[in-house]
Amino acid sequence: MTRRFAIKLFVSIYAITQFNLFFDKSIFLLKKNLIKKEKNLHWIINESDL
Amino acid sequence: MIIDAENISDTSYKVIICGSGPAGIAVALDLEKKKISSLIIEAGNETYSEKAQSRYSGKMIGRTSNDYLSESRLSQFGGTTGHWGGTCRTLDEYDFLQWPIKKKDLNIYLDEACKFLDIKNAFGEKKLNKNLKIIEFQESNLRIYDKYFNYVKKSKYINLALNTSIYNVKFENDSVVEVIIKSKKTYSIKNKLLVLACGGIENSRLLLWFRHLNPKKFKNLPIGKYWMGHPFKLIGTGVADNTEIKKNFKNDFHYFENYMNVGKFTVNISPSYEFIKNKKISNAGFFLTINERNNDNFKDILKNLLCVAPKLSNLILNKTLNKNLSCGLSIFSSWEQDPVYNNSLFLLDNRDDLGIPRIGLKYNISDKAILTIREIIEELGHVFIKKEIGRLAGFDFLYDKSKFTSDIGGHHLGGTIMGNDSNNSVVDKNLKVHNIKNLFVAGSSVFPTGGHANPTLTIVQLSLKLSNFLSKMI
Repeated sequence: MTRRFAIKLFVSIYAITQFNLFFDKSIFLLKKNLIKKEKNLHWIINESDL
Repeated sequence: MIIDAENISDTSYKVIICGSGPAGIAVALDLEKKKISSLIIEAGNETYSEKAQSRYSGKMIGRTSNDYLSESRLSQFGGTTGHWGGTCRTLDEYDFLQWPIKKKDLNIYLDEACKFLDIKNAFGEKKLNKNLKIIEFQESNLRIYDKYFNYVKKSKYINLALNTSIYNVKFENDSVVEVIIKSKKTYSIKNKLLVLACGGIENSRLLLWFRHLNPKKFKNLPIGKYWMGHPFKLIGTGVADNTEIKKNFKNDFHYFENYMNVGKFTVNISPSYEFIKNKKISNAGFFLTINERNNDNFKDILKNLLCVAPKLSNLILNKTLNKNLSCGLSIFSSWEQDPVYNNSLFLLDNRDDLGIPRIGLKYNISDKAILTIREIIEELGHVFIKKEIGRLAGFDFLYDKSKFTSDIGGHHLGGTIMGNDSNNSVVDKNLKVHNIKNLFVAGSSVFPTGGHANPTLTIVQLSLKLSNFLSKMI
């Protein structure tokens, strides 16, 4: 991969993620949604809440 | 006009209607518009009477108490509209997949049905995402007694016999030619067209009884089978940013004032057909209600969340302390129980004062019904995370059916279901009992599936369709 191509690729990905182009941003977030139980409640939460 | 059972003359009516609830009254009023006379036989009095009501007690087999059978319905003029909640909505188009008719077949009666119930014909929908939508209900204040009793008293075409019960029917070939009624005495009256409109339990009870007395008739019909309720429960809770909720769920729909006495802002949500199909679930209505702030419920929810999601709890706590934005949520649901053959009504050995066997109901919620609300609350929970609205939690019984305590709700559906095949249905698409020429059933007992919407609006639409059909037979 040339340096120029690598820069182009980086800029493209940056633009897509920052400006929400074509894809939902959540695709790039690795945090998953979970069900966590506490007493009689089953919380629908995100990994980032923990 | 009001008449005594002993003074009923054969020439004074063309149609006999048993029951004066929304189904029966809607048929009678529409026949009157077409100048067709009817006789309404009402087992109850003009208002509540212990004697008539006592005939509704029976036995439940399942998680629900026996009281359900007598407390969820009323035997009086106007039927259960004497104490109903008044919430109305049309069924969804996909609720008709197992029906022999389509939504468009009932749409032509929608305006008239809304006028009958004194509601606006406005049942809006707004997409929340591809899986969920915000939906609009209307609220009716109709009490049939208040609106129609005096009207019926003065009517030339509607004859009303109170405190009079149907006891038996007599056949000639495939037609009901005589109806045996009981009031102070027993009388026999001639019949041309007979409509059973006695409610979602009594219609089955009477047909089961008629079959007992006339064993050769109604032979293979699944009377009493596929009975359904709408489970109604508080199914979950949550915490949310008050302003984000109002922003994300903004709509111009009719809203509930102080829904279930817990909150002033309620959003109604239901699944899209795509979601129902993909997840193999049934239909449901969710009532997402913002609780009054500073109540104990909110503090308890927050404490519970603190244990599973400390980072998030801190964030919410800061918001609560600094910006005064957070709130607790209550999620109620009224949802669809899929038709199950063994959820059924049956006759007991003991009898009421008229000599008719009391009713038994065997009912258990299905796994599919539990899965339905679990899938929907989880999807809604994902929406809350994605849109940064807050977090939701479902109660234990959504994940462990053994913890489900019964709450069928007040809607009685099925038991005399509609269909094209007499092996698995009781009435045809015109609500005529299979293989009998002049016996019809009106009411929610004919629903082959229940959807999630409160049934009364659909009951009235079906009754108007029936009246139209009957008028062509006369």
